Amino acid sequence: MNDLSRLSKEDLKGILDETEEHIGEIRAELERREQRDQHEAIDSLELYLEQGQINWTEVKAFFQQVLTELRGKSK
Amino acid sequence: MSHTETLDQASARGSSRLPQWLAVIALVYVLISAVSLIGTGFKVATGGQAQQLFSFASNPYVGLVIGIVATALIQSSSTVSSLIVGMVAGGLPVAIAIPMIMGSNVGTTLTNTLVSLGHVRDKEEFRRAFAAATVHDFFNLLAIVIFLPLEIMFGLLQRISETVAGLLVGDANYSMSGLNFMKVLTKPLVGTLEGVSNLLPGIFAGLAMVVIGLALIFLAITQIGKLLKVLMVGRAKAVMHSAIGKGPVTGIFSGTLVTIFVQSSSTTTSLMVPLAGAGTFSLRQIYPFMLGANIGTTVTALLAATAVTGAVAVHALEIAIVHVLFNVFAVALIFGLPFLRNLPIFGAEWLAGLASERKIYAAVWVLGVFIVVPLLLIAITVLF
Repeated sequence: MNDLSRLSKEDLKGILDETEEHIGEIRAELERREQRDQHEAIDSLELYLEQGQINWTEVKAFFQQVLTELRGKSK
Repeated sequence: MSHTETLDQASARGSSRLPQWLAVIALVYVLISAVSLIGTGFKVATGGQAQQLFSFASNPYVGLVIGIVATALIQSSSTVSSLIVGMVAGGLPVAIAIPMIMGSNVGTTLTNTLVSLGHVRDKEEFRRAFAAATVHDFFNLLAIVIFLPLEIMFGLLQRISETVAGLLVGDANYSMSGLNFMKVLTKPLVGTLEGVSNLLPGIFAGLAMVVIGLALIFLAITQIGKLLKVLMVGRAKAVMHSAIGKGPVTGIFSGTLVTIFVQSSSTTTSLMVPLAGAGTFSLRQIYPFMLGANIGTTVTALLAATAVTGAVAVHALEIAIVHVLFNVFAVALIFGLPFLRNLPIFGAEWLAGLASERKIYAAVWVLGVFIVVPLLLIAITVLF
């Protein structure tokens, strides 16, 4: 911070512009990676269609967890 | 790979799928015939007194609950909306059917909510998956909170659908003017099933037609969904790929298209749950897709309405149009107004946050929205 106080206004503006540019690049890279992951997921759509079906064993496991949670709370 | 080879491959793939496409066409025929059978059966069973017999459902809250519970039990809004179209063809007044069709929108969200419970083993994954499922619940409940009172007070959807159906049908037959094309087409199957049902005496014959029709609609829609999932997965992928990185309107359109492709909003909305649970798509990214699914699913009721011929065709078309308008207006209004748009997201995030800490909140939501509150509404209506 102390170093910044010695810099001229032009230098500070230059650093700020450069930082904003970097932030923009990082954001773009993050977005690119997010979209790449999304495209990959859609390529495996059959898998997600399978996962998007009701799994009654899991539903039962959920309600068992609820009961366990309630019993734990009442103790 | 040359262009010719690609075309050859596409042609080979197309011909190898021909039996599946023929099966889809046959199942659509069964669906349309079943709706026609329900219309006749409902008329016979009620002896033309559907309005009096369904007077208990003239209270819109009862109609709403019937729609919610029936869809939650059958796990298919397409089946329920097609059944309602058939019942309207059999004399059920459109005004009574409107809250039922609104209720089917809520009932159908149970499927993806149950799918989200499967992510319970991982806290963060469960939070994301449950939020993805319940954003659809919150949206559909909000749509009813807005549009059901408007319907009760002004008959908004009924009036508009009457005008639209009148313009489309006029005095002619909806299915094909003068020729009763659909009647001729469905007569072999409908006539046979009516003949079998008529072996039973009086209203039992009508009831048998309704039950057989309902079973056939359920069978046809389930099998069409299974076949289209395989046949249309490539197109669904293409639509979804093209929507990535685009705005919410594209998301709504892609949700609509994918749902039309697979003929099941439960399939498309449930598909989003694991995608959100894995963290690949954010809640805000899947939200428009869910809304598109609401619109896409209305195509089934329109298809079912083509089964109805004669004087009641206009009413069957009216209720199918109500289904379309309700969903289109709800998306336009709620998603169009920023202060309403974010309410389902806030609701879903808040509830998912609570539910990920204590599962009892999720259980209360599932049992409350789909069972306890509907039954309480009926009890209150009966008692007061």
